[in-house]
Amino acid sequence: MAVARHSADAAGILARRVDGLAETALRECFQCRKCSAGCTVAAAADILPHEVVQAVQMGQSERVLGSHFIWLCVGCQTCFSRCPNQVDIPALTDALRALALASGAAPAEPAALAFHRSFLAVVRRKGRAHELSMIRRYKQATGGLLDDFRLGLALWRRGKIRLRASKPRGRKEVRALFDRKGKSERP
Amino acid sequence: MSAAPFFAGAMGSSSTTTSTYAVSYYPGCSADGTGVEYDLSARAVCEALGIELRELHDWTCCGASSAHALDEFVGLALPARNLSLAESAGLDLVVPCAACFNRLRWAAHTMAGDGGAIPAGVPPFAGRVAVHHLLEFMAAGAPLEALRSAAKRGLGGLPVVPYYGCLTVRPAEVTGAPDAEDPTGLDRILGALGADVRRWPYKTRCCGAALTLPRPDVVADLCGEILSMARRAGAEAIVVACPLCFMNLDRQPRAAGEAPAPVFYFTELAGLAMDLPAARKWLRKHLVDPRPVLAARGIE
Repeated sequence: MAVARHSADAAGILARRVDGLAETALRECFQCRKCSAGCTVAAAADILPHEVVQAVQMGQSERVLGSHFIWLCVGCQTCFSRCPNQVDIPALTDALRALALASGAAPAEPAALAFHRSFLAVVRRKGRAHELSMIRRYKQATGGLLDDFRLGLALWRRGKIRLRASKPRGRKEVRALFDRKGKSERP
Repeated sequence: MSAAPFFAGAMGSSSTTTSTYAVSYYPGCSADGTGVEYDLSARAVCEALGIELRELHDWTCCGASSAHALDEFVGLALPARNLSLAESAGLDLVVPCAACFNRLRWAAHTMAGDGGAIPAGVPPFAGRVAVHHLLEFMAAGAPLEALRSAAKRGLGGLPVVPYYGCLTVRPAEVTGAPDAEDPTGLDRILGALGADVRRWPYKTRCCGAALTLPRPDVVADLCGEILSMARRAGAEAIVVACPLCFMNLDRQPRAAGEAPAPVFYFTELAGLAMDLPAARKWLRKHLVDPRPVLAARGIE
């Protein structure tokens, strides 16, 4: 890995961690920018996919970990599909989010993080993503409880809001997976 | 019955009372909520065609777009649990939701390709059953021919655009899509049902996916462009194969003065073309009432 040659500095450390997490060979990138040309969230993002790759290569950790991009990326897979070198930018973005959370810095898009956390908290408890529970948690975290009131009412009238969550037996297994209790079962 | 069970005979069984073509079915978490009409129409169409969808017993969430975003282990373990159940059931797994399909298929791909690197505690999966998106499952071979012959009423040449979105097709290494930039399965299905399938450049554009809640402005921009392009392509409706695409598009963030473009699940149009009586109930669940464009083509 090209960037790992500078392993003594922060650039190498961040790049190696990210490279390992994302299982993608960032050195293959030759900055053709096809990723950014097709990026779904290009208009909303502060930096573009090719810049994320470059910043990681150069060890600009604050630039990527503090970016809006890592929280706006929707995982649409357009960049990865079109990359001539199979640089897995969506997987890289997953790894960068993990690093950003581990760094303890506030995310540039707190609502996106609140959404993911609300979703996973409900799945951990109920085994499935009960929509109403998820939205309640999300609204509690972000405020604006009545923002989507009209939409909620319209969906309610059409029978698309289920009040009670289904309770699969497997929810206990799901919780154990979240809590890593299954970890010792296999070598 | 408007459609004879196709597979009862086609699969060489002498019995005509039970279907002989069975698959496991993973409804996904939106199936009893915002995506309820997708689930209902998928089940009704398959039943009428003689395809038995056996709901995967005790299925749980696949993790969707959130698990892998925050937690690598859970991102793999959640879909793996369902793959493990499907393997025990012994039948190929058919999935209507694009996101569920992609996560399940990604997990199967990951576990098949690199068994040594799978973390301890991930439920086992040896790859003995395959994962299919419902769209891909219906778009070729016997199911497509069954649809064609069952679509007696047709769609009266309703002009539509096929919208595949992202995760039914991308990335091709995971989905197995033969052409991820220009997929054709939904085109074939809609043609077989009697629609006028319009060509357009936004087949695989992204709707904004799970930014619905955190960044509705981004989703509105993306869906506004998609709706506008559908109109310019001469379509009166957009056809989808994903509950999240449906949700985002059905909210219709249109430019001022643009007419609404109703959204259909492809299974709903199949049910309408087959004249299934339950179809009316599905359509009442849409935010944008699709009945006027249907009535204009003589479909009620």
